[in-house]
Amino acid sequence: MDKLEKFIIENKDQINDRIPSPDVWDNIERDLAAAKAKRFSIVKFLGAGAAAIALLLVGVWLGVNFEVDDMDRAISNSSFTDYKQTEQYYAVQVKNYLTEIKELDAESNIEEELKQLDEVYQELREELLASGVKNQDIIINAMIKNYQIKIGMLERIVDKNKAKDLNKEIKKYNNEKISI
Amino acid sequence: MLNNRMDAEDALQNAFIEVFRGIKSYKGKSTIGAWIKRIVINNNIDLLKKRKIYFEEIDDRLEVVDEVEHQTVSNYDISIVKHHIGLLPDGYRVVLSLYLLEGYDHKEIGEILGVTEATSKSQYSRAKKKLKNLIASDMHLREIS
Repeated sequence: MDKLEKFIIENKDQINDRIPSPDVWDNIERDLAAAKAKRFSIVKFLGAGAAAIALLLVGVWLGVNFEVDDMDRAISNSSFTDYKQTEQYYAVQVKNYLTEIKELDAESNIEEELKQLDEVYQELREELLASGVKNQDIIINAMIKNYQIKIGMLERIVDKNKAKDLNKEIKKYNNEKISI
Repeated sequence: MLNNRMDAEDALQNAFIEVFRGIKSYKGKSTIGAWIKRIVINNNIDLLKKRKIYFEEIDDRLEVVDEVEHQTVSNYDISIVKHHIGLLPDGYRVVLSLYLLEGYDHKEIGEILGVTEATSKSQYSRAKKKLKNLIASDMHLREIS
């Protein structure tokens, strides 16, 4: 180490004596505060994003549920009101016939047949929602026809069983008459 | 090191913002002071690089005549030394400051500046020679005036 090097090292505090102005520290403080605010904004942004995702998920969930309820809602609205009333009427008829068949203790595979018709009916309802205004009348007529087929089947079962019971009564009456 | 008060304050400001933001990344491999100092130095170097200073290329534009080199200075004056360090080209001043004032060795200076250790040594040698000549010339002019 030569004389100059030694001199500089020994006096480096005096050679390196420049002190930054107080503005530097003020600026640092300001920039850090701005950075903190920016970070807060990012947190807010992320929070908003999370909220948006949550809303989206709720929306999807509602959408799934709405899809189920939507069929009834669509059918019960506006131009479908008349059909809804008709459907309710037929639904009550079907229920009454089923109760009657149960009371008659009729042996039949009606439940299996009704199940197939119900599946066709559900497909028609979905088609009705998907098609919108287009082909509404055709689909509604098909749905009504579906109910009419159900009721026709149920009527035949009930009538058949009633006829059997009537025949039994007639035979019973005749047997009693002969024995008298 | 930057030889410009505004640039130095800008670099210091950026460095300390970096320090405060990155304080969690301090792993304790060196002292906190050395870590902060390194960040400040790096900010200074970044600013110098924006001035298109290439440390591996030695600027000899201000090379003074060699005839004064042999002159020895019996007693250095702080203000004169300080003044002439400020007159050195950036490439010389930075290496000299890092070595003599900041206490880094040439390997560390090479890492900071992105040059080889040998380049740092040769750059320092030239810087010291130039500084000596500047001071000797100044002292000589003062003596004869």
